[in-house]
Amino acid sequence: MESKVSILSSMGLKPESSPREWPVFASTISAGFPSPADDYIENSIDLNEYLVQHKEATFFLRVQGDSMTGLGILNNDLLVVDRSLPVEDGKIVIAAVDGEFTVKQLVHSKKGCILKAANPAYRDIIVDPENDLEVWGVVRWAIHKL
Amino acid sequence: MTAVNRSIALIDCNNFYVSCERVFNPALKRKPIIVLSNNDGCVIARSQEVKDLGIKMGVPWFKVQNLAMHHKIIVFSSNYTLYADMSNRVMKIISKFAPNQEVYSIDECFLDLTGFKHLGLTDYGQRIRSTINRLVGLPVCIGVGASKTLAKLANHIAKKCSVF
Ligand SMILES: [Mg+2]
Repeated sequence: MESKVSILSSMGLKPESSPREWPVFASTISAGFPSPADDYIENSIDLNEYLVQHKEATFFLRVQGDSMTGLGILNNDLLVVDRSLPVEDGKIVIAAVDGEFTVKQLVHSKKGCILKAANPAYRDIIVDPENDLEVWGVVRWAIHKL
Repeated sequence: MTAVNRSIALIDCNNFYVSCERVFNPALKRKPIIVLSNNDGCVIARSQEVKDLGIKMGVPWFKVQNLAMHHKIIVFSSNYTLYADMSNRVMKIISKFAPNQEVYSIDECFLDLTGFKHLGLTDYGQRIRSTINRLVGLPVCIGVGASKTLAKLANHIAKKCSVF
């Protein structure tokens, strides 16, 4: 299925939600050795702060489809999209093409703008001047459950 | 004592509820759209295409239902959670351009730009406008005047002429 995105109904971070800080442990996870019992708390993490740089310009979208799996974006992922980020070559973007949202990698080429899929089963979208293309925002995070 | 010649801006989102719906649905671009009040009683927002058809603000829905059907107008029930979220974003963005902001309604606010004249108010206004458009996708109009009333008037003129 072509990767489309739908905007979540609750788009903003809840203004009333107090920052939730979780401890971050300093030791890295090593496979094989048990980590020392006296792990100390290096810092704390607030996931809102970690995931959202520009609150006013950040929106959450849900992915439907598997055309971007090669770049780590899976069906049903939650995307964190930041409209304040510059739209640059190679970025993964939310684009509106002829009135429909899609998530793709933006690549500039001699032929013009290409919205590249990251799954060999899908064709890239070569944007010609007749298409109505708007880059809606740049994807910063894709969140999925392991 | 001479009064300081003040520059007050009124920043107002164009067709606010309609524009909010459009941000999240690109298929709605250039389509005629209306938003209805709670329990779908009255028309409370119209896209330019609908205004051009002569459908007035506040008119009961049943009075224009046939006309709307005839012109394939897309109709939304109001989604205040969405509009409030977008309003908060817009107001926060604007607040970063000058310290003295007065939020006047869900989609408009006054901003005292008196101290920013040296930057050129037309340029500064354009910057505010393009920043809002880039960050949240909403179109706004800005009117500047020596008082709130004059700012409001200037905004009204800006809307009609669609230049600034
Ligand atoms: Mg307005």
